[in-house]
Amino acid sequence: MQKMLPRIRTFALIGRGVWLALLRRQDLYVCVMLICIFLVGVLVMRIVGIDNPATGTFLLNMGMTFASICAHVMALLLAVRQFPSEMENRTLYPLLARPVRRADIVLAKWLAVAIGGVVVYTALLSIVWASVPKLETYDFVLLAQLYVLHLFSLLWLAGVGITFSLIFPRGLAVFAGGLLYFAGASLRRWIGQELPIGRVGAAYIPDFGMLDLTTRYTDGMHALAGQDWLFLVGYALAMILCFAVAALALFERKPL
Amino acid sequence: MRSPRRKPVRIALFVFVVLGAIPMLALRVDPREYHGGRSHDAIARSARNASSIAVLFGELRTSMSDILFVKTQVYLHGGVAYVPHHEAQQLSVEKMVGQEDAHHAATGVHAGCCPHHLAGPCDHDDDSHHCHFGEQTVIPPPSRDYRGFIGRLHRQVKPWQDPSLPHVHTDGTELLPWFRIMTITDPNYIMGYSLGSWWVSQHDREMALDFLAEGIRKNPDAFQLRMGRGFIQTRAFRANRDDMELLEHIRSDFRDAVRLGIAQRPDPANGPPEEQPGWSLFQEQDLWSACQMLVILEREFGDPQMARELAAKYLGIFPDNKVLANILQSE
Repeated sequence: MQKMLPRIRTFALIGRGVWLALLRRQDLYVCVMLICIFLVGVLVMRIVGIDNPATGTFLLNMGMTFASICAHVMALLLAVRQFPSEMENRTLYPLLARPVRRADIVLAKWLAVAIGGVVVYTALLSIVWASVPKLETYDFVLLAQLYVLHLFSLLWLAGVGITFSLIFPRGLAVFAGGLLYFAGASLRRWIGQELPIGRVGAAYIPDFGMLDLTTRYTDGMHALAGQDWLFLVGYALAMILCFAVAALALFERKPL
Repeated sequence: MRSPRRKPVRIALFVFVVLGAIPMLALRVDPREYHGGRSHDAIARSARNASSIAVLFGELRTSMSDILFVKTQVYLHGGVAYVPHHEAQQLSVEKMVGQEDAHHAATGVHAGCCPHHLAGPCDHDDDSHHCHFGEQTVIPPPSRDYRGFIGRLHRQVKPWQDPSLPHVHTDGTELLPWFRIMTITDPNYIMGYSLGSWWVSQHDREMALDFLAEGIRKNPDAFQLRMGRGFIQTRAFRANRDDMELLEHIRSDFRDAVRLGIAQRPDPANGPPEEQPGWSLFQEQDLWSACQMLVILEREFGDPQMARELAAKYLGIFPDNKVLANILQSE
């Protein structure tokens, strides 16, 4: 434990830096403003009267999807900014001068970005959940599964952002990460159908939709079977590991 | 003590196992695939779509698609912005697809649009230098422009041509991405699918049919899409009149279009259908067209007696349809 302490301290320090970067940027406040607009909309709907239970479900689905997209976009933007900005501002070099392993820097930033995303997602989801009236039945276990899968999804996207930022310029990294997040499923389907690599080859295209159970949840479906849910967790973990290996290898070999 | 030489081997093994696991896990389960659910339930969907919030969002989405639709007209005219044609009559699939005229497909302009066409629809097939005169440009001509130098500058820096000159059409290739974006923005934008598929069919018929199939999958009740598919396949049938299987597909499409259209058409007892909510003049015209086409196909390739019966039946529904009346009289 004594040996681990300096490492934990390093992680906490880097994490604090990422958290400050999150608070300093305007993205978070844009999210807050958007969620406020959503809240005003829901409030107006509640005053005017929600015509039928299906409309309540529609609002819930919209709010939860919005919370998910906001958190993922925030995590991606935050992740993509980490290394290029630090190298540009030369703030990374004092850190590298310390007896800290490069792998620890990558992992600490990665974790901090993912935690930032999780905080945003949890806050937005709680607001949406509390504000929208639940007029139809929903499976609580599925909500828990959905939430946990979102944590993995955020961790995964943070990894994608960090990996891409070590290869591409910042703008291109945001574009590539956004493309995978928003269109990964379509890309995977299209490649599976059109290219000779088939469905097996196309399975390597990151498909974040696999981890999003929002529509399933608002559709009133039952929770996933434990085994199926574990397969999804396994899929997320395998993808996270792939990106972790790639990010670590890239940063280890990056000339600074 | 660990051997440093074994580390790369362990990493390679680990990566190999992880990479091998990904397809196995990804193909094992897809939580998006399930039967039932509120979003797939037609009753729940119609209840949701009737709510004010859904109408608001629906309008926003449709407005986006409308803006993109107007954009296609600008592209069609090589960047010159003409005042958009958005009259219901000119949005009819029948007018655009049935007449098989590239210009009509995007602008909806048809018979009577210029002095040359007062007698009927255009029969020319040139893509450039069409002779539609008198279209108003968004940037006004010097005679109507009060802005002086600013107006001159505007006409110089933006694509513009004198509206009294015949306007130029591009070959439509540039329009295709817009139709794709339109239908992504609003998958229920029937016009995007019907017109987009028509333009795609100018380049690749199979792709157009795929595009229509996607539209039909997302809008199973849209009779215009089945009619559009029927028209596009009719062109293929003209090239090979021995293909009876294709003919049967075409007839089936028109039959489905007529069945769906008549089921959706409001009751004429409450007033003219095109003046009732949820039904427009272009839908009415498309339904007419589908009925006519079904009767013609039945007469030409099926049972003439059945064609007469169908004509009489549809004439009962559309008493003002002169084409059906003529078919019935000519028999």
